[in-house]
Amino acid sequence: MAVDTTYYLILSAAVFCTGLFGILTRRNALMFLMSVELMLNAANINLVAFSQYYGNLTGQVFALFTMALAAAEVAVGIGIILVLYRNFEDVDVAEAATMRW
Amino acid sequence: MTTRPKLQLGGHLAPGLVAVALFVIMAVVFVGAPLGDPAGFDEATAIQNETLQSESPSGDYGTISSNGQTYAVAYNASDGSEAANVSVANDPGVGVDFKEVDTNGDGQSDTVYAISRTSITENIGYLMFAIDSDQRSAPGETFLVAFEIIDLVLVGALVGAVVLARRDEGGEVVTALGLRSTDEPTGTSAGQVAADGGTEDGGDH
Repeated sequence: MAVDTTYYLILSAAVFCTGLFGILTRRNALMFLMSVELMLNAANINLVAFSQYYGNLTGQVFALFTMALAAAEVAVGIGIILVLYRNFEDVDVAEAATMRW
Repeated sequence: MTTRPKLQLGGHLAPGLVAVALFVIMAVVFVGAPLGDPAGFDEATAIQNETLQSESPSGDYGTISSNGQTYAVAYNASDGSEAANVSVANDPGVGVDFKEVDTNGDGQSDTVYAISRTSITENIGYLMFAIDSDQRSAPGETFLVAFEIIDLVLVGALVGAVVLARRDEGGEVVTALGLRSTDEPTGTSAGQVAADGGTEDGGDH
């Protein structure tokens, strides 16, 4: 039997709020990046869960596109963090308060 | 007396509590939401000899709900008509298997399960590349145009990243590909690959 959609939604909310918790409490830029990925993947869980709920595959295909987007986002994010580390000798997001250095 | 770690309470915990509170609100809303049973992909059921009330837009196989009941929808391969009374005898032969089940234990089969022969992964491939196939059994939109657009955008991002990865080194621009945009053949850093993109020292400190 299929798992009830409510459980998927609660899992998704838990993953999303874990990501939000990380963003609100951490100052490490790498932790920020991981937290943003958690929030993005919570949206993916919702897409797949509602795809199953409606018996329509559009959500699953769209989730694949979102994963490709997440991969590109991580590449850009790690590039930014590398430059941050080289210029401030730290990955603390509170250090880089301006857009120029 | 031993020392042990203690939870440091205070106002600094407030941002974390915001996230926890959001989860509680979301969980309450989701538990209270009237969602019902998921339609699923691989099978549908129908009460035998029930008449379908409306037509499914989903193609050869799918489910429709009517008067609180979910029915299997199948199309007759010979004339393309909808098989109203779904049973093993109405097997359309395209992407769907039927199985009769006795649910109330009276020795008579009363429920028909329609089971797709095509896997979900196979269906995703058909949809993503807009392949028109008789084997496709689940409804959905095609994504070929979106696939190609994202393909071009990602190639553009890659080219942009390589072009932008350059730095000044002694008044000379060094790029990631080792090509210099200045015309002076100084040769000090000719052919050097500089992919780290940074300066030797930070400017603000």
